[in-house]
Amino acid sequence: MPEIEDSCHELLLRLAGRLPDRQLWRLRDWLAGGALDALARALPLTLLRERVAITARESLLLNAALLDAGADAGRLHAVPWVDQIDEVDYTFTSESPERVNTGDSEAVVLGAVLHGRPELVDVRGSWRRHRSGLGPATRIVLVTATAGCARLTGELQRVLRALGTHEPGVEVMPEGIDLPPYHQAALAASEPLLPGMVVRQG
Amino acid sequence: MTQVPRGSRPGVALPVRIHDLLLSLAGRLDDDALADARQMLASAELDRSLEFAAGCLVAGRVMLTKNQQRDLESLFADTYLDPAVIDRLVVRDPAPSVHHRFAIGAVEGQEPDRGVAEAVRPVLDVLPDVRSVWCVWRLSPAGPVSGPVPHRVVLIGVGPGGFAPATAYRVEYALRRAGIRASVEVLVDGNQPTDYHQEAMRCARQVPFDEPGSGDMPRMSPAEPVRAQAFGGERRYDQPVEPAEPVPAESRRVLPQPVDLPRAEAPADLGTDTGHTLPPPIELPQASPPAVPPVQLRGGAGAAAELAPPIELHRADPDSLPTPPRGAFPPPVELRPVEPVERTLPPPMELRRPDEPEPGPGLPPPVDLHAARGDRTVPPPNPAEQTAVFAQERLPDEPGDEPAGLPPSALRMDTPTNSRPSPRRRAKSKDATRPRLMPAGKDGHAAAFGDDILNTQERSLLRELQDELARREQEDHGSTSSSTWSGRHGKFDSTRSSGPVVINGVQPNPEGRGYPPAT
Repeated sequence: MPEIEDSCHELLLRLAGRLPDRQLWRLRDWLAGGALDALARALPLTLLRERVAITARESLLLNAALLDAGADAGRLHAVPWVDQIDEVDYTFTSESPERVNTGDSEAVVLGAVLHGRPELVDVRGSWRRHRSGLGPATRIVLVTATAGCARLTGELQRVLRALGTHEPGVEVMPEGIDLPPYHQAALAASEPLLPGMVVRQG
Repeated sequence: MTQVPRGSRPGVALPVRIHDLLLSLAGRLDDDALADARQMLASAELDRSLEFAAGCLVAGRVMLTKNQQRDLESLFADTYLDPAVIDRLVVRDPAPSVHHRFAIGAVEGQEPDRGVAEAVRPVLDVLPDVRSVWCVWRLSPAGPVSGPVPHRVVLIGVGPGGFAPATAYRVEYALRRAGIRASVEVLVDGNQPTDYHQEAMRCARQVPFDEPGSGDMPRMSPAEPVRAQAFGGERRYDQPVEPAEPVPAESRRVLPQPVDLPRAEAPADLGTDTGHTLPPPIELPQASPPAVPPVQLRGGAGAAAELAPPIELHRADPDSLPTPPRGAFPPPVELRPVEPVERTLPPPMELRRPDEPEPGPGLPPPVDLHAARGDRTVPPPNPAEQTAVFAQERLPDEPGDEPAGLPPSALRMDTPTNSRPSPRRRAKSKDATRPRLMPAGKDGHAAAFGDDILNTQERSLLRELQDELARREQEDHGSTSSSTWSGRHGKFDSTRSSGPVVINGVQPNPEGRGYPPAT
């Protein structure tokens, strides 16, 4: 079961920036809440409706995670493939021009929540904006952890929602995985979210 | 939208049942989950909406009552969903009550209805039977993945003519586009509200979304079903909800009106309904209507003078025709050559100049707009000829009865199709099994025009032309109207002088009498 959860979490991690935030955070919340069977029914249909193609690696994860959980095999096989994902529709910056002179209460709360957790490797933050320049900048919380990534994702999402972010962007990356371009770009333009927090250096 | 009137609530549409279930989950699920589920519901994705709600309930370990669980199971069964997802629902009866706190008035200096009226007014103008809108701040979190608080809740009361799922989605969408985050709870008048909605209504503030004076109207609470006057009584869609006196269904029904094809499709080169006079160049030769010089027919008209009245809308019966003196007349077929000047009319309604050459033989059927208005220029044909003419005019009953190669005519229009329009008449199919477009009429008049090819509009046009022809025949005996009329349909033209005018080449009566309206 943990393997299935990890596979599903990695799959949802790789879909960042390709599925709408409104759906992605909900699917991750379901995974964190243990509703794998509901996720298995909703995710293939969502991919088909949103016309999201997946790579061969993601297809393996999809089948490994959801086929036994009740996903419709026909829908799974209908999801189109793509060779690789090398384009990101977003740009990342370390600072948000909209929050220059405001207090960062989110960082305060996240620091309180994450304090003393042994599985954490790093916690960083970045600001994402669509390439078109439209829409507000979205905070992306980048967490590197050694275990319990799905559960930690759900937890941080709930915290951010309570603080006013309706569609939170929380990316909890298992340590040592091959990161997709979205996360590489986000990490490249990130800064430590909790400057005074001591985390394990991986 | 899919309607499945069965299950635990027979007769209640599935979307309504799902909407009611979502209403009962308000305050237990997070507001975004309810909004998403309602969006799917309004988009006719019933199964997806149910699965989404179930996923949120399972993931959040939301406690349900047994009634809610039964409703959910029934809805899953009715939409053919796998019930395995809801097997792990947490059910407890009675479920622990969830008490929510709502603010009375403003929170942090912001009124709950701020900007709401402006944002939802365009939507409410088109949504039916919306009776009231209320706003309130909710201070307590809802669901395990709650968003921030205070959270604005918009309560909408709709009558039985409203569509709750559509109203909830469209109002929420309009608010979101205006930058207002809110949960939209649509309560149908007469339904028992939940504790959550009753508590919200106790603190809510009504939004005057209609005319400026509507704020003085008596308050109505959707949580306390109101059946009296509808909110915004001046709105046009409020009236059918609870009419003061029920109108019989027959009287409300819009009866099909006869198609006014000739008026609608009047050619531009003719005088139109706007009352324009006919252009002078195409004014027909002047002839004194009553005393038209007889046209010398090839068959000799004298023997036919005692025949039947001129207008015969029936198929020509050769036996009923008078037998001409032996040897004096050609056979009846050769009587046809009436071939009046008016026969050449590819553009069916086009009037011909007097100096226009006579058309060649084998041209379209005699009854057409030319015949309708050109009858003043030529002498009334021999009754036998008229009989023959109308015999030609009748539409073929049997396949193959219609001569091929007819020119386009408004009376013989092809059955309209969605394909590329063709200016030419297609050759009639010889297939006798061609489906009928219209059931044959029962009266003899309709039977005379019961061709499959004619649709209702064409028949109406043909009928109108014949009526007009008959009317013109009666006009020959004198007209009585003194008004100024012009145009091919006799519309009154105030711009014209009040003097007598020439209509269709017919000189006015010398005594100054005008023409009666050809209505």
